[in-house]
Amino acid sequence: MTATLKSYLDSALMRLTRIADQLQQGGETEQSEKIQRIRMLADLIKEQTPNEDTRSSTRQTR
Amino acid sequence: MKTLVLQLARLGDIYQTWPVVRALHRTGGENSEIHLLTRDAFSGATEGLSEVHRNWTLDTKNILEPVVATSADVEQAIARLESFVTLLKAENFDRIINLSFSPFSSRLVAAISHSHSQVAGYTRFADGYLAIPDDASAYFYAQVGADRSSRVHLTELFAQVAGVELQTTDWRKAPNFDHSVVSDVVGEVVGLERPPIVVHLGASQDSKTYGAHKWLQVVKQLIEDGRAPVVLIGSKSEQALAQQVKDSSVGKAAIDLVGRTELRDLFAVIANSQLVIGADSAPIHIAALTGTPVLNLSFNSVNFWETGPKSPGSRILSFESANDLASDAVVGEAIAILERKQGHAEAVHVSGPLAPYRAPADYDKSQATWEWLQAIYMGQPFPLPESKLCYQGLQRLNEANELALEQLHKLTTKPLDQTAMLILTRFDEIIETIAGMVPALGVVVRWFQTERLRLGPMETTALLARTHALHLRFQDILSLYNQVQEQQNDNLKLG
Repeated sequence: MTATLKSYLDSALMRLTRIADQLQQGGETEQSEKIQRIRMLADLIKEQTPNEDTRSSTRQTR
Repeated sequence: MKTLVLQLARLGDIYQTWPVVRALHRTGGENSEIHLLTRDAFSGATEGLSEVHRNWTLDTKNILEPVVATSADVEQAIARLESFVTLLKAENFDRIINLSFSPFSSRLVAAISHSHSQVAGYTRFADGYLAIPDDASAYFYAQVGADRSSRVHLTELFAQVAGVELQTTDWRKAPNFDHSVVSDVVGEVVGLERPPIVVHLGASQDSKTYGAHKWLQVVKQLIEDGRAPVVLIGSKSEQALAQQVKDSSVGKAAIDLVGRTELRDLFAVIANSQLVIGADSAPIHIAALTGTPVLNLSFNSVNFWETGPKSPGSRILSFESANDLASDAVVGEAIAILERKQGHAEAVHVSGPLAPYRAPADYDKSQATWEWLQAIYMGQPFPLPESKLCYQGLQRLNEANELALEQLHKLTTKPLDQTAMLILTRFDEIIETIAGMVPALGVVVRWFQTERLRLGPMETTALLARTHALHLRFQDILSLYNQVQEQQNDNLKLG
C-alpha cells in the first residue's frame, strides 16, 4: 500500500468517524441503520491496512 | 440447507478454510448448498474448490471509492454497501458461518441475517456491540493471536465454529481446475528430471520473512548440494528479492517463477515438488492441500501452532527472529526432511493434518499458559501455580472478585448504589493489572472478560443476575487455589 493511499484511507476514516459523531450528537443512536453502515465502512477501511491483524482487531469492551 | 461461509481474511486463511468447506459439503446432505464470500482481491484462492455452489466477492474498492475520493461522497459509499447487503440478504441463508473474526465481517453478518438464520462466528447484538454466539469463536476472541499461547490450529478452530469434524480427505482432494488455462510456467517444473525444492521468498508481512541475504545462502547451498532443482516462487512484489538471488553466480541455476504464477499454477508446481521451504504464507497452506512436505521458518510475529503446515513429514523451525536462524540450519533441516532423518533438535514435527504437532520433549515456551488454556476450555486439570508471584496473583484475583460479588449483591437491593457501581468499574483495571504481571493469569482474566461480553444487552435485573453468576464461575476457578499449599502434590480439579 502506498503512503498516498494510506493517507487517503486515514482521511476517509476520520471523515466517517466525524459524521458518526455528528449523527449521535443529533440524536441518532448506535442502533440506527445509518450509524451502523458508517461503522461498517469505517471497519472496512481499517481492514485494508496490510499489517492490520483483521482476525483479532475486533477485541473491545462493552 | 443454504449456508454462507464468510472468509474475508487473506489467501492463507482462505486455503485453511478449504477443508472446512469440504467437510460442510460432505456432511450436508443432498440439498446442501454452500456459498462462500471472500474479498475481491483474494478470490483467486477459491478457484478449484468445487464444493462451493456459488462464490461471492466483496468488492471493497468499489464500495470505498466514493468515500476515499478527494470529493468524498459518503452517501454514495453507503448506497453501494447497502446494495451489496441487500443482495446477500435476499439470498435468505439458513445458516451463516463467519470465519473472518473481523469487525467488518461481524457487522455484515448482522446486516444480512434473518430471524431464522443460524449464525456461527462473530455478529452484532441489536445495540451494535459485538456478539459471539459460539464457544469456539469466544475462544478465538480471548485466546488466539501471535501474542497468545493457543496451540489449536486455525483450521481446527474454523471447523469447530462451523460445527464439523474434519477428516484427512478434506485436505487431500484434487482441486477442480480448468487445466486448459494453466500457464506454461508449470511445464518448467513438471517436466524436470527430478521433483524440485520450492522456495517461497516472501510473505504478506516483512516480519514473517527470512531476508534476502539469508535466502541467497539457502538457495546457494541447496544448489551446491545438488539434490534437487530449486524453484523460486513469490508474488510480483518479491521479484526484486528473486533478482538478488538470481544475480549471484550459483543462484542463476534456480528456476525463477516469482511473479509469473497464478494461484492455480502454484498448486501444480507445489504438487510436483518434493519440498516447500517458506515462512507463514499461502504456499505452505497450498502444500497442506497437495500433501507436499514443508519446512516452515516461523518467527515471533506469528504463532506457528495456529497457522503452521499440515502436510505429513513437514517440520517447523521456530525462532524469535530471522537473525537467530542460520542458513546452514535451514539447509540441514531441508536435507533431513528429504532423507527422513533426525534434524535440528528444536524442530517441531508434523505427522499429518489431524495430528497435533510434536514439539521437542523439553519445549517449554508458553507451556504454563497453555496448561491454563487446557484447564479452562478443554476440561484438563488446573495447573499448580508456576511461581509464588502466580500464586499471589491468584489470591489477589480472588479478593477482587469477592469484592465485585459484594457490589453486585448490593446492586440487587439498591440498584442506584453509586459506590458499588464505582467499585465495579474499577474491577477490570485491577484484574488486567494482575494479568499484566503474571501472563499465565491473562488466560483466566480474558476468559472472564469475554464471557461477560457475550452476555449482551438485556434488562437490568437479568443482567445483574447473569453477571453475578459469571463472577461465581470465576470464583469457582480461583477458590481452587485457596488450599493449594496443602495439596502441592496433586493437580487441582474443579469440584
